[in-house]
Amino acid sequence: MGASGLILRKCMYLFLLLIAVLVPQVVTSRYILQILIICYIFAVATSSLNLLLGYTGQVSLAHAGFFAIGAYGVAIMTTRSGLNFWWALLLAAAVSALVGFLVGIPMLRTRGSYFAIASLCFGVIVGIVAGSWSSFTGGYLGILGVPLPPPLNLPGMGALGFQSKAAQYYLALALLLLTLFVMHRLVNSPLGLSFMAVRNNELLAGAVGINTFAVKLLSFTVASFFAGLAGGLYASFMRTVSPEVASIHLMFNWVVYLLLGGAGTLAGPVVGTLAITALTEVTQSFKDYSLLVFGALLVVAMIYCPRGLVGAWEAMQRRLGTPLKRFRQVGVRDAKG
Amino acid sequence: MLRVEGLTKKFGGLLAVNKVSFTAHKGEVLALIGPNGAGKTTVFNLISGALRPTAGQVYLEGKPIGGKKPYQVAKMGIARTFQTTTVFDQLKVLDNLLVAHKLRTSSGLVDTILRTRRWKKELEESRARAMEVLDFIGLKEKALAPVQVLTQEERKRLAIGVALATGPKVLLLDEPTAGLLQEETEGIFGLIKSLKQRGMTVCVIEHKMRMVMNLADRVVVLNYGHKIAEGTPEEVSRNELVIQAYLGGEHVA
Repeated sequence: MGASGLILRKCMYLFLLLIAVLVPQVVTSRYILQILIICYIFAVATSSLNLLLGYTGQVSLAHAGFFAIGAYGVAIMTTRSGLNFWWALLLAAAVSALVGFLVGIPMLRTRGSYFAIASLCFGVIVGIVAGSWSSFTGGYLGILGVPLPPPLNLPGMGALGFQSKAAQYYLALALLLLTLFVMHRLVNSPLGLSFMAVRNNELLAGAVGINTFAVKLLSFTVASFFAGLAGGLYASFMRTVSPEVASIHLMFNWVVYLLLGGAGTLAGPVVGTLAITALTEVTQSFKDYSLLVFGALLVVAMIYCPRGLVGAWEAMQRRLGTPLKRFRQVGVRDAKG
Repeated sequence: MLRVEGLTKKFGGLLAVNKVSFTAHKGEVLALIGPNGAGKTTVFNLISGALRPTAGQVYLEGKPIGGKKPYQVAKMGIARTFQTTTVFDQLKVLDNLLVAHKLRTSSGLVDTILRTRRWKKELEESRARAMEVLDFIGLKEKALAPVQVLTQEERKRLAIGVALATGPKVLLLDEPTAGLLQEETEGIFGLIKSLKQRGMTVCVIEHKMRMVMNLADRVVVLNYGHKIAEGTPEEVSRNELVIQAYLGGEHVA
């Protein structure tokens, strides 16, 4: 990519960021803000799933399990032990990562669909444990009264509370940006290349000295950490957790967000989450038929853009030579003198 | 340099490789030939750790490597290519080489996220190494191209480049010219020749006899998992057993 193409790209990201930052100033509807907050949290979960499914090529269906561990972690630590939310969030994500590491060791020895089933089992087990271990998790009623994040003392800005939807929105946005930042650095590095090498050809990856098992385990652990982080924030914003957070429906939603948005791209999970949530809102008037519309759209999308919306966008850019691309070519020519 | 001793592999009742021993000396090109199904690729798989030997041992500079995993064998300094051209076709040309050089770096997750000084230094080194390899295999112009746009011959070059980027002491090439046209084959010949000039130890499985005769310092001939001959190309080409294996015995007619 030419230098000016890069600058143009950065400008585009800055513009999108500006819009995201301005949203609470313009949108006053608590309903829409709430939807966006949940979107961002789910986009974090989907991004972490993307690292595993999109970049490392491991179809994991355990993700709601880790989301639930993060959610219950924060709920239990804040309500029972009275731990500060921020510490609880970090600890819960760490616990999620540790569990991911430990169950990853046996699970990642399986491949392909066997791995998918093994990971699905883990997610289901987490849900059953959450529902049945009443003394610890509150059983099927769950845990009520999870506190909101306490005010954050920022230097120069005073205490920043999270009572308002706008403040919650900014916190969710910050978490999403942090996740995307980490994913960006991971993916654009030799370490990220080794993830993609495992996805592309495990045999060759091993032959060039990549410990494929260690790579998969690392990817799984990092993905679990961010899923836990998302779950923790979700518990706090919802003020309650129940075994629902470990449900298969939630996890399959993320898989759909990812596949429709574009697996193996950084923007894919965010685009997919926002687009499908918007679509669900629009089709809500169809009541029960909304799922029907949704299913049909999914099938069409999978046939005509198998690489998701971001993949389709990139293909269109290549074919049509959008201004962005023309800019890039000029950039290259300029660079050559 | 690379010593193979009594290497044996049984697949159930089938004896694929039977007590094969040979040595590849530093800086020489050793050709492994034999009819289809002779066990040549199995020998490569045993050396590179893709398969575990039933018996026997492989030594690299005197150190045993039998029973190690492929990624450990690669770290010790044995790189291989595959019979079917194998490169990371979802990555760019340069990225193929960067990821192949990763085994010589030590940056971890934290280095990567924080982009520490070590991470930057290692990336620079990897890039320099990758460009060097690209120059050598003649794909410098295509560094940023996706693999999909490469021709079959360029992919074969890249596959060799990927192996070279791991910084090997010994290179195992499994039929590097399979499925290529005459003039393309010449190109790969030239590449192997310049590898030899640079002092690389190369073991190559090859069916094209002209290449074997011109390029190899020594030849090991396998048939039904046994080593039936070893020597210079001239010696081997006059060997009765070899002629029989390739052309069939009298009773086969």
